[in-house]
Amino acid sequence: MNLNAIQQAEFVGQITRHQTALRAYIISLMPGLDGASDVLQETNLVMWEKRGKYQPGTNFRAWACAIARYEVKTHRRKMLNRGMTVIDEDLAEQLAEHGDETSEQLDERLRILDKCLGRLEEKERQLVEHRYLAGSTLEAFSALCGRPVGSLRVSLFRIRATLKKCINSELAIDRTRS
Amino acid sequence: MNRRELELHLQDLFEGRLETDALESLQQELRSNPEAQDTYCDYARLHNALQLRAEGVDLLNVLPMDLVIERRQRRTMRTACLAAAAMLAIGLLLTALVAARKPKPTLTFNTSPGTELSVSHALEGEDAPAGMVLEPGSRLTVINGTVELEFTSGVRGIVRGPAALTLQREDLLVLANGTAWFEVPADAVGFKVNTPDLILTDLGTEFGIISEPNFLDEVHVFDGKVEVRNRSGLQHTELLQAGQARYAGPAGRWQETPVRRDHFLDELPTQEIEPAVVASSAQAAIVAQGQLTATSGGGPTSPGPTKQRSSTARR
Repeated sequence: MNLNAIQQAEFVGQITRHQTALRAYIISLMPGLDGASDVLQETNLVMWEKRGKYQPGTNFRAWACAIARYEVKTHRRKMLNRGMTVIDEDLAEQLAEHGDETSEQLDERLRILDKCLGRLEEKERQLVEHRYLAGSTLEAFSALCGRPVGSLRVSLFRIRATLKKCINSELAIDRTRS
Repeated sequence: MNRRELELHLQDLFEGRLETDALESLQQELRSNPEAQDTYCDYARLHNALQLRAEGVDLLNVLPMDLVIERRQRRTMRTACLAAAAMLAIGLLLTALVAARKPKPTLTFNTSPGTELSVSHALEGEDAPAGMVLEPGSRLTVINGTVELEFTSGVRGIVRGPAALTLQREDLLVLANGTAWFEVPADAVGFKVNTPDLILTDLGTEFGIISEPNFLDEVHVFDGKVEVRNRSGLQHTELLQAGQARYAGPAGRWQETPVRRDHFLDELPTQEIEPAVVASSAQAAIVAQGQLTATSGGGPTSPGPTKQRSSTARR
């Protein structure tokens, strides 16, 4: 089916609206593997190429997730060939379905995360930012700050636990208010 | 696995540094423990949120046009390559079909070194067989040397010159003269060889025939059975078994003669050898040379006047 200009714009809008949710889904399918952004981009391109096969009015997210699942499989195969340790495919899919969130829930989580990050100590925030903003390894940060990797690993573990606790309690408060 | 262990394993999993053994035990826990599944999801959400915050998602460029165009070009190229491959495959298939439709020649032949021969065909012009091929109606004259015959039916023969033969049908060879050995597979039972003196029908066997001017034709059976009928006189039919040899008597009776395996070649010689039989005009002496046993003063296998024809013989 060929889409007219309006339908094409609507289709791109659908892709855009589901970006954060799709990314979360992809990360959940391939924990510990690099390249989630590339897989997301590939998924977007495949969706665009297959736009004629999407039936308007049906569940766009389910359709997009099916394509993402296929792209993750391809990525996993590449990683396996490089000798990476990869979680079992069926288990990852089961867990990804289990933890599925809507785009609105994700947006809320991001907003609360900012708030919780603001409550961290400076040293803790530096460690998180180095790990995520710079995309660097603990070994690299260890060389930079002079702390042993084991110590950083424990710190990061504690920070994540703190953030999880903070986010969950904030989410609970929001739900109580609404 | 306690909660702390679980969370440490999850951290290592999302950091991409979990060892294989630990991964196994984590997977086991995740499969069986719903609480562990919730923790995994919590962890995945936090990891994703932290990454999103760091990297963000470029919502203004979810479909980079340069990549869209590049992929389209790649797909077009792939389609073109596939089309070309399909055309090539179709071409090869058609060629194979044409080749398969082309009938195999009825008989092909090879020669030993130094062989002199001539071939004539019933068909002329473009229809005439090309190369070392005989079709029904083709006549092969071996002046000297040895020729190997290979029928499509599986029959194989070695003919020593001087010899002359005509292929009448796929299953019928007329040997005007010459020394020939044949091996007939089970599928080709019924193969016939006619000589001036006899009609031979194979019943699945290995046999030799000697047909020389001035001498009575002989049949030597090495394996299986053959049926032979004399062309003249009583025209008696006889079934010959392995280890039997006969020559066609003048009155149409079959006469015994010793089996001479060594008189026949069953392979094409790799070197040039002398003619098997030379008949002198004066004494009709047989002189076998080269690899074959030398005899003289009689027939090719059992010397003596009994093998010479009567006054009506071809002399």
